[in-house]
Amino acid sequence: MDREETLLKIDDLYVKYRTVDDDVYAVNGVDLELKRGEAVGIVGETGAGKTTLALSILGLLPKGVGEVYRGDIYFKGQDLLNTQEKKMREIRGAQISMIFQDPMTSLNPVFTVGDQIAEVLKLHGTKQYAREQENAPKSDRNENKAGMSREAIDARVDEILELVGIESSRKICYPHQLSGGMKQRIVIAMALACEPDLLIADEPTTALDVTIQSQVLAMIDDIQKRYNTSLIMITHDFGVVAETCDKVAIMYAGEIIEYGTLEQIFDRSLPHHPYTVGLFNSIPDLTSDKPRLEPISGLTPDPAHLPEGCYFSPRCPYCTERCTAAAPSVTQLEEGHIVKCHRFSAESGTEGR
Amino acid sequence: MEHRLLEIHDLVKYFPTNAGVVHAVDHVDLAVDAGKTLGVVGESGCGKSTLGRCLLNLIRPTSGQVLFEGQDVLAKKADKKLLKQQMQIIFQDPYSSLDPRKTVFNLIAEPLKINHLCSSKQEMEEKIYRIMETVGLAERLAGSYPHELDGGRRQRIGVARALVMKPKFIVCDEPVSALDVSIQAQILNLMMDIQEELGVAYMFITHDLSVVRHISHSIAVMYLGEVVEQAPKKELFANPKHPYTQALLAAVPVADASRRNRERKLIQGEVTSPIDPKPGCRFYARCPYAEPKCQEPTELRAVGDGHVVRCVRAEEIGS
Repeated sequence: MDREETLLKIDDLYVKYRTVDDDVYAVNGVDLELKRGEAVGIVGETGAGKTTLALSILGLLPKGVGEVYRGDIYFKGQDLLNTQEKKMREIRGAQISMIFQDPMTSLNPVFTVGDQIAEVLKLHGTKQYAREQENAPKSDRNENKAGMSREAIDARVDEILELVGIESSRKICYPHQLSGGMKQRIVIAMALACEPDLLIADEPTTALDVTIQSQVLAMIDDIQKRYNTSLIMITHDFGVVAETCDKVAIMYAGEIIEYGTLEQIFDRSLPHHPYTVGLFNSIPDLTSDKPRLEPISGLTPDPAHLPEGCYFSPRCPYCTERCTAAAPSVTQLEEGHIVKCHRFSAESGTEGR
Repeated sequence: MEHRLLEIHDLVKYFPTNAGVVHAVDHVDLAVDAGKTLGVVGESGCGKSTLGRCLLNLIRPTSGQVLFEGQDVLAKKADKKLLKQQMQIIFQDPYSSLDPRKTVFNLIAEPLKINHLCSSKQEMEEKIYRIMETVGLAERLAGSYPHELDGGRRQRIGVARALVMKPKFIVCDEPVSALDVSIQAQILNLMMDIQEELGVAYMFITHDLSVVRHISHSIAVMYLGEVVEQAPKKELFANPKHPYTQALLAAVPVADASRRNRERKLIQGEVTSPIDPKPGCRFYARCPYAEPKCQEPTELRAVGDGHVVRCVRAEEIGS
């Protein structure tokens, strides 16, 4: 399995939002590479720029407000930022699809869930169907938009519903007739209907109960492995990451401040970015007793007025003069484990924890 | 010496709807000791918030008894004024539970004014600034409006509003669920410090088992309006007896890399309807251990020191 294919490459990406007062710097220099079949978790608090990052991959930043002003995104070698909208529409939903946080608002209340899944298929068709059609004689080919016949669409809707654990007889239901967990399954079914290469899940289980959450996570994990889909899991919950991801990126104020394999990030004996340490110390643990939590003092910075130097410096217990003077560069701690912090940069000479 | 502060006897709240009667809280017996925390855990729709509101008579229960220091909270002749001061609530959403047109100072002053607790303006100011210091709100924020503050600070206002009455008991209805983890940790620490300092008792309602484990002394697990298991914290986490408690514990994603490829123990299906439930165990339809005798009505019974469970097969399953 060496030399895996790189599916998505984000290169030094900067995104800002224009507002009446100031520009809001949501993403500030993100580098990320995703291989086929790999699952990467993006962890961060509110306002860290996780969702903005996802929206810029899909080209869904609000027009005239959100703007990528530096950097590149390559998907299968194709430059997504310079792709025409018409072409983007063919990619969205078919090759890259997204699961949004709130299943209650991401479904259309006046269409049945079956119709909503069918819509994706009408627009894009499935890969398997395209292959079958290619081999069929010309006279038998369907000539409608994505070339999928009604029967084929119906069959695929049934198949995908079964995959997400909903009886196909429920496809005539409207969203309000389903529970929250079932709605989220429908949203996932829509995202998976065309067998995308990349699935972006933005807090897919935050609105769900724990027992339903564990069902949905197990399902995402299973489907991801089965179809070798790449997954970007956006979440604030380390537990969710531990259940579904191979790689973890910790985001803070629009930067990836630490990146590594699941084992590297979760191994408390290895050195980590002070923010990562702070996050871990903030979560109450289900398996061990912590008499007191040790939260990070202060608040995440206002992205319209980011601090000088390292963005974490005002909250960092190890902050020195150097941290407020210059932004830290990327340091590799070990193979595949990188950190953006002055404490670990080569010229400092002192190895921190 | 434990001192019983609050006792709940056979509390029932039914909501009649067109589709049938919703059994939101169904014959619940619980007790809270002075200065201690009772955690109430359950999934959405299990009746935990309704329970919290019934205790304060914010929702009038269908039947049952709530005794606060021996006084019946629900009785017509109850000293409502005194009870209001001694029993308070902190709501889940700091974004919608504060009046957007009031400043921080006025928000905290409101309960004092309504209850005529201050004889002079000076006394009120003193009280408000003292409580702001207790909950970690800087004095300069007194003139700010809620929209100018972040979620953590807003929730501190909620805590301050409850505390300014010097209550003995606070119902905390998911007070940290809407907050980021680092802010959540700050608020949890604050609440535990306040308890230590002022000896307040909490009923901490949440769906988050790790939070409940962190803050509670004893824990009650609710499912479809019923308490299915209750035990001291250590006992419950070390030795869960009810299949639902076990399923809940297994379902929580834990931040541990070795969990990535573990075998998952999932319970199937979703919470069944709380409308006119069948007699017998309400977890029957989802329970991996269900057998015919589970369809008969079940009672809570003791299985250990302070450990009660509503399951006929608890002994076989628990081990």
